[in-house]
Amino acid sequence: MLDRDFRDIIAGLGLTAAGSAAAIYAAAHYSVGTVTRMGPGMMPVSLGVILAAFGLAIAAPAFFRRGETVPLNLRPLIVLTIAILTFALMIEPVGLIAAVFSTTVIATLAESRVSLGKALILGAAMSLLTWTIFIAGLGLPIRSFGWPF
Amino acid sequence: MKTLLLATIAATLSATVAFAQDKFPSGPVTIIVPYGTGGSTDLTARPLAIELEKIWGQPVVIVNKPGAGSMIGTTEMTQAEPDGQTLLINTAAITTAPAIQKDLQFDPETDVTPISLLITSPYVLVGGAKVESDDFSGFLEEAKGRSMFMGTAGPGSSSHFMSELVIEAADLPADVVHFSGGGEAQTNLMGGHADTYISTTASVMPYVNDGRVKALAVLAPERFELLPDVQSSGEAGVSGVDINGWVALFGPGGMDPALVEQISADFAEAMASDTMKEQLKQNYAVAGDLSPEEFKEIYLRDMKTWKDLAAKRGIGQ
Amino acid sequence: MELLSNLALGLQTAITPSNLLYCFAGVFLGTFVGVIPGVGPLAAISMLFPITFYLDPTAALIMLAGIYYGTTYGGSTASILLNIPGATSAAVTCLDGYPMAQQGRAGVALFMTTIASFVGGSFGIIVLSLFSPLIAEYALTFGPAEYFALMVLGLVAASTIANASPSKGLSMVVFGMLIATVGTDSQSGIGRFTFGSMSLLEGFGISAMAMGLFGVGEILSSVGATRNAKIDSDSAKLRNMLPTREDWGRSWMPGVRGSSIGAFFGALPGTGPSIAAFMAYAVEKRISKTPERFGQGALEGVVAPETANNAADQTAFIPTLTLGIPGSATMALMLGALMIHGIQPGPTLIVQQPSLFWGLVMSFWIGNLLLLILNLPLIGIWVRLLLIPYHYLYPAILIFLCIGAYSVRANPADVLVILGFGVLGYAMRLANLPAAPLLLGFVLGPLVEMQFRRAMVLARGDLTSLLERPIAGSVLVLSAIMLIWTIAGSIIRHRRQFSDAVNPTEVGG
Repeated sequence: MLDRDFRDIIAGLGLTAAGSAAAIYAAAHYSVGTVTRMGPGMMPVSLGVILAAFGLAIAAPAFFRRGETVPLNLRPLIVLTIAILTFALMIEPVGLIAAVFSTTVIATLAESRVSLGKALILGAAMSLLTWTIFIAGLGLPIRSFGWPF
Repeated sequence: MKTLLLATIAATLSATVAFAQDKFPSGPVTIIVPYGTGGSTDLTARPLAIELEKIWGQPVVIVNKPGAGSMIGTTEMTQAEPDGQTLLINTAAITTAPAIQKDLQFDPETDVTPISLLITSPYVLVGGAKVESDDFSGFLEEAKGRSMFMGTAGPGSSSHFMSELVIEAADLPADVVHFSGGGEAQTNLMGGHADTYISTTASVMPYVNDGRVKALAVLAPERFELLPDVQSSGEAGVSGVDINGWVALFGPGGMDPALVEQISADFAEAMASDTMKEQLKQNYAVAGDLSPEEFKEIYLRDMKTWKDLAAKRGIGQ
Repeated sequence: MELLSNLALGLQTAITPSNLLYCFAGVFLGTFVGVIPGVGPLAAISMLFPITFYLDPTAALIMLAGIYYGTTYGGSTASILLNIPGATSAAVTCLDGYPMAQQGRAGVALFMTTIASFVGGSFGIIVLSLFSPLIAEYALTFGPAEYFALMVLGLVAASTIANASPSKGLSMVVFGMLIATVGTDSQSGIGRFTFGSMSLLEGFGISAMAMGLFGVGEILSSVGATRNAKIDSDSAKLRNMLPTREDWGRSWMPGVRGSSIGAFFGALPGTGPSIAAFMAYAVEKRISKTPERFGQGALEGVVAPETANNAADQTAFIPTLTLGIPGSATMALMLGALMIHGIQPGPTLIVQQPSLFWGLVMSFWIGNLLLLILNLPLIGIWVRLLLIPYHYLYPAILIFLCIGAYSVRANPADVLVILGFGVLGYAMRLANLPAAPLLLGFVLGPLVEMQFRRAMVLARGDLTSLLERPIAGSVLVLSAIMLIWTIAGSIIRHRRQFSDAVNPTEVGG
């Protein structure tokens, strides 16, 4: 138990920050216009302001109540981010097979439950499966193999 | 020693260039279509690709790269080698987009080689349910009395620019209202929510033939041979709006003129096929018969027209 | 009796062996594509589109349409089993489908979604075959003012779909609307929040967003967490798959309402199955005597959106075929398939191409029947999917999400979009902020803004003219009443909750 509900405080203030930033940026860069002749800035500015207000409405009461700790799991977040980045960076230069294989193997590292051997097998199986479905089956215009050099 | 090396390199390079010219296409040709699968440009490119495969004996691959008013696919084309293996089929959007998009990552004058005008037709002004007149002279009269709403396919689209051009040339007190694409614009015409829409024959004639919208004018000095019953803007005394809509072929900047000639000739052959003739007939359009140089002039002229108009009427500000 | 002869003509067309085969191929592929999270109907149909050059137009359309509505059948499977929607229109189904699966009622949920899909689909087909021209004509009377009013009603009606506190739910609707402003402004052509990036000019794709928020977000929060014992293989037995008499009783009216809502939104160009599913869910939750059951595995919360999105799938063909106006990107592809064969959809299509129109309608029936037959036995297999350890399953799902995101536009930047929304989705789960209202705001926000700005141009800046238009005016008044009701209701509930002592409720989806 925490003496304040930090989860809602952080969430609320985060929304307030996001809303304010959007509103300020939009107000500075796009013309706002009037209600009946709205410019491109009107919606972002008003939505940003409303979001900021809601953020405060979420955060304010949270200062006055107890809260619980939130379990933050960093390992899956980091590993899976790397896995998805790998896919995005590899898919065009090296093609589907290598991209799928690497992404799968990296993704299994988010937990300690899959041994390396099984991860490699899973990677190979996924490469084969996705190749069959997307390239052989649906004719998706992606290279199977690529060599960027 | 140094000169010898340079000479060798120069010789090798020129040999490669000569080789490339003789041997076009040296492998599969990619045609980028900067619109979605199944769109009208895609439907032109795909049968053309089938014809070109017959002519070239090489696979011709259509790659759809939609987005940013055709500029995503166009940008990708400009980054390819100017060897003819990567080409682009685009509409007049390639001339309107640079007039309003400030973040282009290429120079539309030097990074694009206009190769061939494939399909062309005049722009047609169509009227919706609330428009009473049946021709352009009547419409001009009507529009002076009742301020019209000119629907467009979106800000910066050619329908938008053409509408602004007509407002300017005919001195109409009209308002422009932007819809998301020509289909939605014409639905709003049918429902009487907006009054006019301007686009190529291919996109308006289906609805005109259904009797849902009426063709008020072809925007040209004289009547269009395929639509002899529709009054021309020139006849009604309005000039300066005679820009044509088109679908054309482009390559990356700096292509060899001889290669451009060859590709242009091959496409002309493909355009002369029965499939393409049938498509032209359906779309009330004609095949382009300009040399690459002549087309380049049109490309540069149109781009300038839109740029000036955008500045004058505050489009994209 | 003209209808009967038309239907007979349609049946003749639809049951030729080759058309049956294309229909089967379409619905089979559709189910399959639907089940895989990440790969949506748009991607699948785009990939297969080139084939239609070589097919006769009726066969081509039968197959593409089969993929389209087949996807919606399959789309709910992953929603229920994995809390990851297989298609965007199945996102709402997560809200109650997944809790049902956790309670060991995955089989029942899947069974009922299949039945609901069939009922909704059939309803849509009936509307399509009886009222097409009439509805198309009526849809024309909807101008920007009417669309604006309708979208406002949608926002008000559905802003409370999640079980979070009203401020959290509403803040997410606003957040979704704000995210949707990224990209080219529909009315000025100016890029908003694009920071010079060309990819961002298009804005975020709805499916990339849904896949990130729900798919990657779900994986990020499930991986590494302690997992409840998965459902034992008993729940895959037929006995445990069959709905009880009570289940049927509960589902009947939601099915009828869902079908009607779906048929309505499907027929309006520019709205579609996703909006229909949201609306159907919102309506059920609102009129339910026990709204607190929603989000905890209420069967009505599964049946209503599933009938709605399937009905919408079918009626979406009305504007496409009878006006030549595609209401969505997928429908534009259907239109394209006709155009390459020189067939121009429009009011005269039914008269000029009766065998195509009625053949298509009858193939929808056959397709829906095939889907029913195909999907019921598959339920047992899908439920067994849960027996696969999650640590083998999540890398596979992640791969499908990545490929799905990439395949829509062949743009690696879209893969980064699902990553970004995945991280956002994970953060929102930690903060107990509901994702469904965000998706809703994202879908409706741009429509509200665009239609309002158009309506203002057309009214030359006269706000009161909105209220003077009969449809727009009455819908806006209805929205106002509903808004007051919602606020009053939430104040009353708030008071009750305070007197009930602190009682943290779990948030769905």
